[in-house]
Amino acid sequence: MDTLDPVLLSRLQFALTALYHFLFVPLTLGLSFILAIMESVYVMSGREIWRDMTKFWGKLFAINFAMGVATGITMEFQFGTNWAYYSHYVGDIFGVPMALEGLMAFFLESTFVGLFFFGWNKLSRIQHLGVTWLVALGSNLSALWILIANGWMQNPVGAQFNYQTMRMEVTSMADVILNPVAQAKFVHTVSAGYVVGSVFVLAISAFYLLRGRHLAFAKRSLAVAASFGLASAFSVVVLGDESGYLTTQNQKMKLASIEAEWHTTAAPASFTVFGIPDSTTQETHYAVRVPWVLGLIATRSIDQQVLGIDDLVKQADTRIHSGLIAYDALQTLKVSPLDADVQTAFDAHKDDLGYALLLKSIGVDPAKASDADIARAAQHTVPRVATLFWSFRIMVGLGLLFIFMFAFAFWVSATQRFERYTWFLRLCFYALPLPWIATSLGWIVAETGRQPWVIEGILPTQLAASSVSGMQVLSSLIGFVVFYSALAVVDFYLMRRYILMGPEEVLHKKILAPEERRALHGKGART
Amino acid sequence: MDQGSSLRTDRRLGREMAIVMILKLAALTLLWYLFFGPTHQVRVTPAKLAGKLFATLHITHRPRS
Repeated sequence: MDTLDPVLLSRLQFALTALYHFLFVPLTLGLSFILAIMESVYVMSGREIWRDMTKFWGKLFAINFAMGVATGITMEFQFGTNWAYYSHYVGDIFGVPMALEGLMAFFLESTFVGLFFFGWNKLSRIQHLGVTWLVALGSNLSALWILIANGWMQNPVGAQFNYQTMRMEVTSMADVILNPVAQAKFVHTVSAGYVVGSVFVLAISAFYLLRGRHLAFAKRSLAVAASFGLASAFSVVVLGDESGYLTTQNQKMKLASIEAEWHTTAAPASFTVFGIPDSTTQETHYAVRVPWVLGLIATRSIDQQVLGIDDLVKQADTRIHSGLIAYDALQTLKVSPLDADVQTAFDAHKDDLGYALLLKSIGVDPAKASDADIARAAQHTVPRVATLFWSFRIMVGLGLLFIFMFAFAFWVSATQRFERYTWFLRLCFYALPLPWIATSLGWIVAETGRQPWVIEGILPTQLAASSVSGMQVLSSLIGFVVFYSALAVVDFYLMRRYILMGPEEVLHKKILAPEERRALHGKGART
Repeated sequence: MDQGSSLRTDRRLGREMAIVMILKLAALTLLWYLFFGPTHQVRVTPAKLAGKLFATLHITHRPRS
């Protein structure tokens, strides 16, 4: 029965649990800031409708939070079983941000989420507003630590390998925390979360407008979503560009694969808008290219080349040869730790040790590797080009659609022409699942693009997985699928029910625009 | 404003979320116990990892091209 590949199943299990968890995270990130903005308007203007908006969207935030909390813990379960070698190898670095994330999530975020819901009648307006902002900041800080951990997997800085303990050990925590890849990843990811939250509010507001329900509430919600979403969508593009530039520096193979750059071309490289990448012939069929654009984005110059996959494979070949020297030296050092010549050889080549391990990951004993084996291992450094090429393009295409949607919604909202553009409101409603598709594709690009490495250039994924049986992983995978599917059904049911009830039924009050309230209660009435 | 009805909705939502969270925690505990508990965890020592990464424990140090 153990024809099942435990490494592939472990990867699939981790990917599924991470992607499921990330259905909740971006909505928490985005909606928490939208709540803070709405409540700020309430505190500044004193208009009750903004308090009602904060409370209603807060209920949907609560459902999302309650359903999402602890869904990420299943990833930590897997570290001890499926990824025990990984945990030992990098636990010294990975453990710190993971622990800090737990502290931030449970003690900061959860405390203030509780105060947000139960503090409306117990705290002053200003105190409650402070709590709401702290919910938003707490959620984002939790994300920071996770992305520092993930950023380190993409760009392992501030650590070195200790062959006595057989693990990577921290040499500079500041370098780990201030890792530019992690920082760029953090701001790009949280901005994407703000887009998710904005599209969520935009889509549901559009739904109410199409149904002619809760108009004053929906128009204001749509205005907040459009303006916050537009700023966030532009941020995603700018910060994504920074992330891409850093990928050019640190993960050249990932960039070349995303762009299906099979061969190095003259600078500045052209950008392939459309094409069908073919790994067998190493060509992109029917390619539609825009001159210069890739070179400008990836290198921010017109005279630097973007290395193609073929040249990067040659570089990997060279690094495997270099890594084998470190590999041999290390084995000698394990027996004769005082041999100075061997230590010097190890130090000179230790940065390429991970490349020698690529041979093991394809089932070749490095001690007996032939040049043909090394060439095969070097070829193994190329990730799935078509997956990356299409995932990236669909993600970018959706990002551009969101910019259009937010800009148009902003204009419709500013000119109050909601009735005239019902087609647009329908578009906004049907766009509801799209930001989740975009964020999931973003993660697929980030994680698939790093393969065959679990830690870029340090540890191949194949060697990070434990020696567990495929059946064992498959059993837990089935358990997770059942568990998460049940949660998804309950989440959808609760969200749908409270959205269909609408703010007036949920809050049990007639929600009036300030002018309606004035007309009803006289000029001096509070709005 | 009907304060009583609003409170009833809040209580209903709170009850539903509490039930979901209790069931979720129970399911997570069960999954952990069945598949990830101490009996399933893989103990890794430096020697065990060295065995996995460097299966040929010692070979003569030889120059590579």
